Amino acid sequence: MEPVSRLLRSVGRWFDSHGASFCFSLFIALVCVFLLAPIAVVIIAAFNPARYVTFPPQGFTFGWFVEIAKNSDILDAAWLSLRIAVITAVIATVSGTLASLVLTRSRMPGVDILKLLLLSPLLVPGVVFGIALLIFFNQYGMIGSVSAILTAHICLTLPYVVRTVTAGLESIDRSIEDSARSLGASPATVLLTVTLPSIRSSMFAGAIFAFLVSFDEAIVTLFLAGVQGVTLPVFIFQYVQYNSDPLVAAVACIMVLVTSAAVVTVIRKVRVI
Amino acid sequence: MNAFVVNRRARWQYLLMLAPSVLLLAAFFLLPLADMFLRSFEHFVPFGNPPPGFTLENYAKFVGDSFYRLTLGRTLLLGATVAIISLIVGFPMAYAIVRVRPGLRAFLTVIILVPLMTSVIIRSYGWMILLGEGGPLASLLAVFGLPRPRLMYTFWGTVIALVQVMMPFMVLTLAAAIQQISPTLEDASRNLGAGRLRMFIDVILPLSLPGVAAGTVLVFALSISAFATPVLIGGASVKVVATVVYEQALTVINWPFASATSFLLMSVTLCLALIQAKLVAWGARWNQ
Repeated sequence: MEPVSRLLRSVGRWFDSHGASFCFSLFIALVCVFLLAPIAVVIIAAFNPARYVTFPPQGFTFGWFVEIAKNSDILDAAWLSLRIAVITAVIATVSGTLASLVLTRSRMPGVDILKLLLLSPLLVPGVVFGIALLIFFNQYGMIGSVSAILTAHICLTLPYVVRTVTAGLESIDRSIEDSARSLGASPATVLLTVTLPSIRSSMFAGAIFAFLVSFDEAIVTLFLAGVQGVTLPVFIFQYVQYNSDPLVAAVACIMVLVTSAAVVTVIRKVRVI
Repeated sequence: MNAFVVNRRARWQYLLMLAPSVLLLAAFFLLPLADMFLRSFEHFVPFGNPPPGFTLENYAKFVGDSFYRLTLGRTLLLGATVAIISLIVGFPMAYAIVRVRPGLRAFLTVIILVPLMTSVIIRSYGWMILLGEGGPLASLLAVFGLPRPRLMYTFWGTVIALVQVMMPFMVLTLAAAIQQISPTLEDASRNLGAGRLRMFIDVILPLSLPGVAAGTVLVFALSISAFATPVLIGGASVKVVATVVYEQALTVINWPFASATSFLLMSVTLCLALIQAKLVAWGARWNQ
């Protein structure tokens, strides 16, 4: 047994001096590959001229992007998604910021319960909220309408805005607001000239999050889409179940570009981790 | 007197500022959920108005039918498997994000956040390509003369894809916990002669235990309610509770039963969210 234990000990020592950090780095690299792989293959597939997704790709083409530009279903879905995401971001950011101001600045009783309510749409599974809204909006014949999808998206994005903006409000120096007040500024002036400018970047990050969550949302929207309310993610979901050509890979590719650009912009503005 | 007036005015202003979001959530979130809850006690009549009366038959159907019991069991097994694998794979990643130099940290953060913010539909589609026929995995194995892997429309294929979907949640939760561990503790244990493995087992793991528990519960809760990935990767052979809700709602159009199933699913995830919140609060006190 002596040689075995000596061998084990020397392996352990080698591992500790050289191997550990190497293995660790290798593992981290593999996890990064694993995390990015599904996004990478979608992008690669979008430039593949073959009618079926094949690996390795059989060439390089922009053909599928040209195809998108000619497909009115996709263009309609994209336009709908974009409109809904922009309106959602604006409404969620304004109402979420107002609510966050109360959550952090007032000493009203029940603020904790309010915060829980504002964050609660994140706790309910998408299919559950989806069927609840399906039953609800069906009573008013609103399935497939823009306003039904819009209200769902605002509810779903409010938590992101509230979280980001509340964090921003908690991190700013309260004494500046107090100084402005004691120098005679009215509460409204303090809000407009001191508080809001100093949480600008959190509001911006909140708006970007709201835009992205709305732009990418598929589950609740799937229940509300009907025939007229097919957004881009819903279109992809329905398309990939019955077709195997890379047309939607090109659509997905554009969506990934939008997402990545937004994420990088936000990371430059606010610290996430 | 003056203070009282100001205070009362401030209170009105506060209520006015809360009104848009609270009214919106009350009307289009709480009310529909309450409505769904009431619907779950209605009788089901295809293409007709339900007879009046209160029934528990929808709940009894879910609990009593062996098909739904099997689906529930599969869903819980899927959630547990995904949670455990995410924990094992995600822990080193979370540790790396906290401890590497700032430049690399930003890079790893982007790698975590880009998948998180990319639509789950697109990621699942990516996994359909990766695991499917003619995909990179099949081509690679064919080069070595190995048989084509059977992962599309299987339990393990769904697990792999879901782990990737859930990984960011796990890593972010763990990173928050690991961040609270002082690096001096690690240096101390190393100076006292502990190897890296020893340091990990004796110092880092125990100190990050609340984070580990919170991340695992979170990923479990998200996985048992996941819909898009099980549908696209698992298909008809990996039916989960969320798939049942979808089919009952949009194909069978049995809304009372879909409501009952939804309510059961929501109750479970809300309990798990409560546990997770307690674990996070526990974690905040853990290192003091």
